Amino acid sequence: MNSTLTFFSSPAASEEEIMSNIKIQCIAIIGKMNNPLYIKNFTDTHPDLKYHYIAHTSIDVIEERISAGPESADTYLGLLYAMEDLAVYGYLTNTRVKFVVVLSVLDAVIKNADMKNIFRKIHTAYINQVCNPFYNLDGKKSIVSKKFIAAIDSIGKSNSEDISKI
Amino acid sequence: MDSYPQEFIYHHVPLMFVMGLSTIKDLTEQVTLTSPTSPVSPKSVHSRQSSFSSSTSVLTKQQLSKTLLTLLTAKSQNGIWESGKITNQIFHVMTVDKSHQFPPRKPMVRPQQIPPISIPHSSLSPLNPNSPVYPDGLIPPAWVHKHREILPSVFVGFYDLWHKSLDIKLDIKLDVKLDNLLNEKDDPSLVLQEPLGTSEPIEKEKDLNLAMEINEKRKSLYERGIKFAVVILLRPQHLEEQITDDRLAHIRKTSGLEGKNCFFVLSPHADLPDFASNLQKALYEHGLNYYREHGKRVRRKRSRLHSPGVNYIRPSIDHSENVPLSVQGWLARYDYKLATFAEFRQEIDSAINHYESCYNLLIELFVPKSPITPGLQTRSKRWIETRVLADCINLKICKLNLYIDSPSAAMMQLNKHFNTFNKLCNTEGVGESTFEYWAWLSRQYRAFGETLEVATRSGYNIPDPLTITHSTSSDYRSSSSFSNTGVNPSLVLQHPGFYYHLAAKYNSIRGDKFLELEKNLKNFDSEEVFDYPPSAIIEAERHVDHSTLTIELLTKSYEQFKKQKTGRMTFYLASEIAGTYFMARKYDMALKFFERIAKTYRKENWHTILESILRWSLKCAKESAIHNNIMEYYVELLCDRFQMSEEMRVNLQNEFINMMNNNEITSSLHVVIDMNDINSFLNCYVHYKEPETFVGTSTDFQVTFSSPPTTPPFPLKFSFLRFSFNDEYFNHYLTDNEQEILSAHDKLQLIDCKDCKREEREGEGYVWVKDVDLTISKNSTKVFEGSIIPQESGELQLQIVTLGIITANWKIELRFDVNSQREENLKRKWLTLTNNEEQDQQVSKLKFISLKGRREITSINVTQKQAKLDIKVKHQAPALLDEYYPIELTIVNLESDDIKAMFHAEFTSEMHDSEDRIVLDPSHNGTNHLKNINFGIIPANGSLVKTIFVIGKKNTNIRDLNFRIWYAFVSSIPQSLPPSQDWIEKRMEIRLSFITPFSIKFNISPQGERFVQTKKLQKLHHEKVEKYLLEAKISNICPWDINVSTIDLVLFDQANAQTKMEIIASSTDTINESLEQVWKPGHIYNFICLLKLVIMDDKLLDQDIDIGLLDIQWKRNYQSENIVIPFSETTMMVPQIQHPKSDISATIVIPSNPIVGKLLTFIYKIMNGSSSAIKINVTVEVNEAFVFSGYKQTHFYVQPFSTYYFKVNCFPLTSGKVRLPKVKITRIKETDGTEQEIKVTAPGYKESYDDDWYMIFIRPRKELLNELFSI
Repeated sequence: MNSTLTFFSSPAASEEEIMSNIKIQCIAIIGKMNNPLYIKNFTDTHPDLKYHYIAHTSIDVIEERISAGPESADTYLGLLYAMEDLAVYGYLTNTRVKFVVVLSVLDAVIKNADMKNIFRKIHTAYINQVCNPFYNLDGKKSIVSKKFIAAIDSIGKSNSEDISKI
Repeated sequence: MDSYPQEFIYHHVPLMFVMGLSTIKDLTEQVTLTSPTSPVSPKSVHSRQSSFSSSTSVLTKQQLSKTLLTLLTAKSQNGIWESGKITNQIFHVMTVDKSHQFPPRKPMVRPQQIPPISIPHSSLSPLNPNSPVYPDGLIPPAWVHKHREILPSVFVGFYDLWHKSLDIKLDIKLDVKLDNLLNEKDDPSLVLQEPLGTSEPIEKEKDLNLAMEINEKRKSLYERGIKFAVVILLRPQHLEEQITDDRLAHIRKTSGLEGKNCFFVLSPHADLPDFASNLQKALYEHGLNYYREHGKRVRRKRSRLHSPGVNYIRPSIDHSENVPLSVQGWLARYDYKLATFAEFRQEIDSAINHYESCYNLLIELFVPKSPITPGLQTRSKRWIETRVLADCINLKICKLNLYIDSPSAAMMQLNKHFNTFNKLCNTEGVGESTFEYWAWLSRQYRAFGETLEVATRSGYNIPDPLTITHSTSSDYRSSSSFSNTGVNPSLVLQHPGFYYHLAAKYNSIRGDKFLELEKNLKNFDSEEVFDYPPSAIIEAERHVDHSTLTIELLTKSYEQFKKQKTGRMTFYLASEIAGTYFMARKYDMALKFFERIAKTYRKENWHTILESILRWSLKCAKESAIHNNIMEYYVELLCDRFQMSEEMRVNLQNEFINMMNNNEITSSLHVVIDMNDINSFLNCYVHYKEPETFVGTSTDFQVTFSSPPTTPPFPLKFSFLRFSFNDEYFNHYLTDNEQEILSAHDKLQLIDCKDCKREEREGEGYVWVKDVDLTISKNSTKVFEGSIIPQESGELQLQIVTLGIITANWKIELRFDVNSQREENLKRKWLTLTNNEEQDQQVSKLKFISLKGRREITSINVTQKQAKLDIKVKHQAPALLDEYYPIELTIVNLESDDIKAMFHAEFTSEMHDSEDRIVLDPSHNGTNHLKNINFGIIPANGSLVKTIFVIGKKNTNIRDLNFRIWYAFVSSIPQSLPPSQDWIEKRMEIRLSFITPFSIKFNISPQGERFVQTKKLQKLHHEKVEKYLLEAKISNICPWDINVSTIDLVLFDQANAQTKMEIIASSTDTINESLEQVWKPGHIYNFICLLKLVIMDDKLLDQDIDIGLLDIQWKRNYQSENIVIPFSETTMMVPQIQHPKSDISATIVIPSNPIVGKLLTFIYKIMNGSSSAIKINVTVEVNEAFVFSGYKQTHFYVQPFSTYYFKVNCFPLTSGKVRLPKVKITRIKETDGTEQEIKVTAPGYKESYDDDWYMIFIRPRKELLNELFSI
């Protein structure tokens, strides 16, 4: 638990610093049994189904990365793959919960620091959710907590709005 | 990729022609330019010759040629992908015949000397009217072909050196040919020089001939700038001759091949692979030079074109309608050539630069209204040609970038290509709205994917995205290197599967667009509204099977992902393939794919995806009328895990119900849906109230159905509900009572099914039936409570709960396998109706009460009831051996019903050879157990007393005795005999210790012997008669009184015919019939018996003599017992008579009534039973009680078969019990003088032992007695 605390007390990049070329299309949280916990589509260009498929397929790449790479507590897995106009990024928590963020690809460099920052925020939201004693950690049902959904929404929207300013 | 000319796609390597090795059959890639009229070449003659003289160690000419060719062409892949590393120094090797002629070429003239108008142009130049690119084309594939296949950079000729041993007969013929050659070629350079040191004129001639041939070839090639090299093949014979070196030097000199790397000699013993690679390495630089020269030439041309002054030089064209190639076009053309030659030289960077420059120029050609060019006409032949060229150059640039390990540059080029043409096409009306654009895009991705696939197959590794970093353009925080690392996703090269997938996707858009177009064509006849492509293109497109192509691409992608072991991605692709099949109306194929992938999504709880798959499957099933699965899809879609609106759910359920009532289906369909395998909209739990029950006890169970709040959207009526037990007898079949569906229903319902009737139902057999309400509504819980009475013990399991709907055509069963492991770890609950008193009113309320434990209990352990039976045992321990030991059993029936009891008894500690018995009746001979003894009926609360007898034999071990009573109620006596599960069992075990009742001591005293002579059958027999006194001291050592009836000595039949035994007298003879004594504990009884033993022939008797058994008939003396216990019999073996082996015996005759002072004569009777005299020594020891007269020590002989009487005279001195003077009689053996004491027996006296000697009682003198009495 200590490590998690220090993790979040580290100075995270402020909102403004997040690069404007990141436009989050979807945030997916996948349980350790590879079951979807929460998948949020921030666009209206693609149907939810598409992101469900993307989240599901990214499990493969995440598993491959984990098996290849060294064991570490929290892992930013970087770009998992790019499909069509979408880039899929992955992150693995120490409890084997997977976060997947889908961005729309503009021909621009996405900084790892920015992506890590987004994942940290998602992790915070998830930890807050897990801290709820009534939340069943091993359950296979989707997360329905309003607070959690709001937190994910704010992460997704803050980054998708930025792009509209360009 | 196959749609592009392979010349544009393949990788270029320097071309090498090989002459003199080819045999047409050998290699397929051989260029066949041989003319049929060519004269018989010396080579072929040689080869024939050498085949005669071929030695084992040296290859024949044919073999050599073949091996060399194979080696040379082995590494020259003519493909899309070369390793990219230039280190190989490999040529593309092609073989040509000796008669090979190069195509005619334009005369090599210096450009500045040529007047512009009369330039002879290459047949491929746009300036040549016969060229395919005339007048404004760019580069035809033929141009590339020319350099790839027709014009080599290096030409290698293989020649044989003549040897006399190889060629004799054909000399003349060759001479003729030589003459001809000399006559024809009047070349001054061929002035023959006198070879030095040649002694053989023919050899000289031949060499000269060869040199001329080589020289001619060299010159013709030199004109074209092609490097010529010669390889002379030596035969083993050459090596033996010294002049060979001179000959070679001569040929080399004569043929003008004195330059570096022109002349090679292949010794017959050379290492061929080495030679092949060295040859290529040596000539490689020449090859590069060739292309360098070409490059220089083209660059010169380009620079002239580029200088502003040259523009006007462009020749005017006669055909005014044809616009000649623009400057941009010429520049692009030259750039392309430069790039190609750079590629031939393997200068990858330079090639990329030239290709890029060419590409950019090409793009300009497309742009309309450019100041220089009018732009190409869209869809025109040139437009298409140019685009093909641009596509190919794009692929080339991507590929070359991969060669130099800059995949990001490759991706950048690829993106650039797409963006550029996207813009171009959109502005020219062939953009995103047309199928043509998408077809093109799909083809691009496919070609790129294929290139990448070829690359990976050849060993190219697609870099791990984690290792890629692209530097950011904005460097405002450049201090931190970490924060600036990042990836541009669009520049990340991925494996080919992704590109195939995109190709497939765009191809499917192409199909859609084309369909759209077709629709528009039908709707609007006027072509004004839309800019339609030419009808030829539309017609061609009509023949394209879009879905098949898409599926092919998706399958390619699928294969790639499969290779990457990304299973989930393959599922995604499978879903796309299925979708494409659906669009193509191949529903069965689509269904197959959907079914295959649905499992994984179901297992991993990806409900959104699963829902989509199910809906697609549903559509497929409907379209293809595969009815079996339709219902399964409907039922699964009813599950609340799929998030959909209320309206959708209602529609779904309506469809479901309509489908069930669909009368179009003619055949009746029976569908069983395993609800455990799909997402169920209902939860089904099963509970027994108690985890255990007894046979015959009514056992309650509840089956609970609970539905979620959203589904089924409106009440669903089921036709039947079946409970299937592992014992079919208990199967329930509840049917719907056809009640009106109430809109307002209770959320919690308890349906009592305890009062089911057993009836026969069609298809079900005999089942427990009842009509109940089987409507399932949303957000409700329905509990069916049933009751069963187990008939036998064991595990009783409710295995399957089935909800069914029966319509005219359908029989749908929703099967809940409640027995299989399920996830929920619920607390056990039991719904009960409780009566509460509220405001003075009895209110019944349904309420769940908690039961002990967790998880549902679907099976119940049925055991027999605890026996309600008491067994009391009465007996008087310890038991005695041999006796009929009575055990009194009192069996008390504590049941409230009459019972029938069966009895069983056995020893549990069974000895191996035990003779123990258990009997119910002493008059019967029993065995060691009692089995299935019917004790009859014991009334309720009554009791039964039974006595059994146990007889313990032989040893006094402790015995464990096991009693079992099985009973059953008189009302239901099972068919089977116990032990079986139908009987209730009661067990009891007792321990019995056994002791022996008697201790018996035997004493046998000899009582004298004598010889008797009898006359039998006129023959005199010499018999010996001995007498013995048997004394048995029997003591009662048990703690009970013992009633003894008889004691008897039973003599054995004598085993030896020489002996005879009889009882002379016995102490029991005095009592008539039976003894009938009661012996108290510790009582001692002496049994005495006098035995007479007659020995027919003493000599022959050499063994101990059996006497017999002592038999005691007795029983325990029970007081006041009703039961009659028979006498038991204990027998005891009497010890054997130790028959003396010696042939001599001594007996003392003690006179009766010895009196003090009166002479007392003891006679020692010494009998010699042997046939020889025995010497006897006698010593008398006098004691205080007697005065002795006679010799204290004497010796004498006892004659055979006679008796010697030895007298000892004594005077008793004292009265009372005194010891006799001891007389020691010893036998002295004549042979060695050893002494042996002879035992003296005294009839009527007990045998004396050791120092003990016979005691007698001496009476006092009479006078003294009288005195005493008188006083």
